[in-house]
Amino acid sequence: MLNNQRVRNAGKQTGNAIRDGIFGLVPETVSEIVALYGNLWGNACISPTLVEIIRLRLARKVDCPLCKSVRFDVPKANGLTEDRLELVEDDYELNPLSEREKCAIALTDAFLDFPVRVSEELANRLLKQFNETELAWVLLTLMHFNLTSRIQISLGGTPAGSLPIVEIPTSITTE
Amino acid sequence: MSNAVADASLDLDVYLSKTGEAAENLGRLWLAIWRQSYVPASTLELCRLTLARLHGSEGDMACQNEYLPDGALPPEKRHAVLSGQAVTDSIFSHAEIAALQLAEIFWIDPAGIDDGVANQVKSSFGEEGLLLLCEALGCFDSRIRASLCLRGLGSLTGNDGGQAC
Repeated sequence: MLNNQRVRNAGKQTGNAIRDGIFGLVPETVSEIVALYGNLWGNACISPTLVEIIRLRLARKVDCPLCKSVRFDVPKANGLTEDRLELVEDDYELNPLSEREKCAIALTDAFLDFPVRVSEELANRLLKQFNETELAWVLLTLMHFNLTSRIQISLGGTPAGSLPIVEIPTSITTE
Repeated sequence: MSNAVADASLDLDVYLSKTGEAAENLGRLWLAIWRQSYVPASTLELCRLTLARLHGSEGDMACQNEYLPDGALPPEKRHAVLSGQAVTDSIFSHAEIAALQLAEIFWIDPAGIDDGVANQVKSSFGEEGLLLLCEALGCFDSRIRASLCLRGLGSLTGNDGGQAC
């Protein structure tokens, strides 16, 4: 349990970090949250690398210390390196990321902005890079990690300062 | 998954259905949030309307939520939330005011939620209710944001995002 954590962990020993942590307190919803993790890491028609880039951009923008420190193993196995993730910062448009990655980051920023707005220019860029099914997955990725990051910040305790980077197997969130 | 949308072709859920099973997970999560017993659906609806107002999402402010039992939300409460009076208005219970305060801070900056606000929600709805309320707020926020993004993509995809409720 982290400092200042506002709800207790479920206290189960299933081996699934989501079920055993705070989310496990509400059994009516936890299975769908776990299943969403599973689908995002296992069934999305966008690459795990892109899912991780979106997740990390969102974590950095909403400033979730825990989310920023976590690295999942599946995107790493997909070839994503820490050096590449360092490019997902505010001057990302100037960095050697692919246009597809830059578009996904730009949509993440638009999703989090106030007011939420996708400009015509960004819409045109996105539709050159993604078909509608892929865009639906990008939006679903944003929705899921926006949900989990904001809950983590609200309830999960906020450690002081930045946390060390920790690689975790996706299986502990999906099975 | 939802809802009282006039034209389902414009609905967020129709768009997300391209993700198959993942959209079904999201749909079941949405349903579970409205059907659980920790926080009344009428309180959740007040919070959903609050986020719709804060986002300036006209469609979400206007839509009728089919998961809300008939008469569960008095029109004056709906009007008060949509006009931004809620937190100080005497027509709301302490529990509703606690939930609405949490909703506003959750939207502005979740790191700004202090122990006082969290404890007020916990004393009204319990620890599980606090978690459930945050899950609901996360769902509302994510759905409204996604729907607004789809509106921006709409002129090019033929989908205007509709509304997220």
